[in-house]
Amino acid sequence: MPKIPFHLVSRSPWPILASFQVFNMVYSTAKLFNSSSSSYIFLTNFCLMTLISWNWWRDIVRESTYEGSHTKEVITGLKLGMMLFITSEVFFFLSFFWAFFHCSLSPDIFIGQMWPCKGIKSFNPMGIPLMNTLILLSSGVTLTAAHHFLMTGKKMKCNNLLICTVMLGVYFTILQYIEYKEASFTIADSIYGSTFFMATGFHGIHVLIGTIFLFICLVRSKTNHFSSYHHFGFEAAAWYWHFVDVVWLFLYIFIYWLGK
Amino acid sequence: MALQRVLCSVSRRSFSTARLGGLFKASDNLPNPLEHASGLERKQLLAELQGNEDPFDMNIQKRGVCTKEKPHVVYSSFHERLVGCICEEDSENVVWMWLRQSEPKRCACGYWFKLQKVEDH
Repeated sequence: MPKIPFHLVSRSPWPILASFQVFNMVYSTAKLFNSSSSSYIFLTNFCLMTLISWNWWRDIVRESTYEGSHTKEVITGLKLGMMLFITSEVFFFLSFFWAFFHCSLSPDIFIGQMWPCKGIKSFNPMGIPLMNTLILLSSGVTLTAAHHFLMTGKKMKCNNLLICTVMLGVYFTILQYIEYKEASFTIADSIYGSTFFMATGFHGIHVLIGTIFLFICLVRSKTNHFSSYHHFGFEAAAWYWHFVDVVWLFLYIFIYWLGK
Repeated sequence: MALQRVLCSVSRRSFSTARLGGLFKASDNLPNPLEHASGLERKQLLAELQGNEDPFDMNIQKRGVCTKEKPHVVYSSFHERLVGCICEEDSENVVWMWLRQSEPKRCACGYWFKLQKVEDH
């Protein structure tokens, strides 16, 4: 047995390709937002980014599940990495909340010294947003139950509950889409629209990513990638989902409810 | 054409693989963690089952006599290893030194260390 438990990774093309592709993505997205380029360039770059991400993560799955490179010490490192990533995400959202509080707690004369800004008709917090709160809280329950059954070795129950969680995630996204379509203001309508769509929009993207993450866990669970003690992919997805859940609670309380 | 062929084969593989799919398909239960594990992960689990709680020699060890004639043996699968000596029992800092094969070394506190190479198996 090698006397080191750590995974010394082999040569891989994905880090450098991903770095270049991230640049292309930023460039083409900025061009798209400024309406100075067709959406085909963006879509091509998006597909390439997806392809690179897919292959990189596929390699990690092969290294862990098939090659057995993820010892307990490696998993400790992965856990620390995920915690640091989520911490960075917390500060990402903190900046949007900072902008929101800065503008809403002492509204400027230019926006009518009122919040929501003059002329803005905000959403009713007891409508779709309350429903979305219930959906996300319920998905947290089903996900915790799925994790419980995974740890006790009940695969079918775990999979069924994971399907419920993914469906609740999709349902949330659909309701958010309907709400956005019915909105009476846009991201360009005063600082209220800017802070509202920046915060809730980025949260929506995180829900989408979390749903995909959980769906991948479902596929991996169905193909017996997880054992009752080694399933860090699932745990990382669960941590991410709970983080997204908590961010929504703050969004609901401060932006939808107290800031209406 | 070549790129297309590679992309096709690569994407098909990642969709169709299943870990121990045939063995556990009929069962509702998850595979046994030990049977499920492979590679180094499996070796670590097996070593722990055999009662070896520290298969990678990572734990802090109590020093022996540590004289020049009877140095403390440090195992490594490489030619050198970074070793930390806690000179006094209540010392708050660790004295780090590179220990090389066939070069026993004396820490400033007077204790001797020696590297012994272990072959991977």
